[in-house]
Amino acid sequence: MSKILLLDSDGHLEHLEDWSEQAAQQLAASENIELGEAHWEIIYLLQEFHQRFQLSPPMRPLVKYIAQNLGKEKGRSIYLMQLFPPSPARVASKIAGLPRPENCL
Amino acid sequence: MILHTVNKSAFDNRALGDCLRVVATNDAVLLIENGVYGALSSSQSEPAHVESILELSAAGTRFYVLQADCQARGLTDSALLPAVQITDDAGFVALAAEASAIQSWY
Amino acid sequence: MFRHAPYGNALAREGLEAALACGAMGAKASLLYINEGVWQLLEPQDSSAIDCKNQAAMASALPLYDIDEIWVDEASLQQRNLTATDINAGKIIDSSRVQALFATSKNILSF
Repeated sequence: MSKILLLDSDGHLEHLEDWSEQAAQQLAASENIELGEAHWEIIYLLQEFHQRFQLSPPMRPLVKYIAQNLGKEKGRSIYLMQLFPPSPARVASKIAGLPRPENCL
Repeated sequence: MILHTVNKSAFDNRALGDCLRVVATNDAVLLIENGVYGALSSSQSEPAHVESILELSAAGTRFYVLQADCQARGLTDSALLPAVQITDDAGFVALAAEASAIQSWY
Repeated sequence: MFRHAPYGNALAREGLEAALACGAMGAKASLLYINEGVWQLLEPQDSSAIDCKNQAAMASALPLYDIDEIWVDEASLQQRNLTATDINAGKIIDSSRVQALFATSKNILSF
């Protein structure tokens, strides 16, 4: 059952505390994405990035952070593009419950 | 050449002193807004900025004040350090064009 | 170029955001911490009780944004009785290296 989520004008969660795995699935559905193992791994890593640096990463730092933590195979924009089209940094941060990345086109 | 602009009075702010500590001999320093008080020859500010300006100027650093800012504040030409040249907006633009980069101290 | 202490005003945060934006866009940038700016490098910082983002936490992301040249003015540290062990990042340089950094910069943004 869907819960009503409070979103900002970019469609990101207004309050990070509202995030849950179910909320993530709802947010993903709004981007026509069905979440699998590969998605969750990135989502949790994004949340760790935000917790640690207090930032929502745009593409370059996100790719670099993923390469450092999950290996070079996954730390590539083409891999992220397949998981979170059409704009991985924006879409993945939205599903992870983070604010929209700044400096993100 | 770097153009350094300073817009605070040395009596209430460290911008001028911080600038003078790292300015190079081929640089130019332009005092604007309240920064123009730094060009007074009678200044007894601590630390002794007048001495630094004289030393740097002897070594080649160029110093300028913006005429309009002096005039507005009642600073006459004769009250200013002879080492400091008086310039106007066109002079400011020329200095900015000559500089490879501008550093603003505020 | 960071010349002001963190949290008292928005300068430190805005400067950091400018640096992160440069990194995100692939523009080459070096950072210089000088004068009051060296306080930004002091650890540990915990800004939760004053409702501000932790500057040191944000700054620690700089290498991920490909901002790897971080310089710290030696005289500014000495004036504040700080040493290399007090700061969390950056290479310490003297005034002549600061001058050289200015001379080789295409643009200087001062915060």
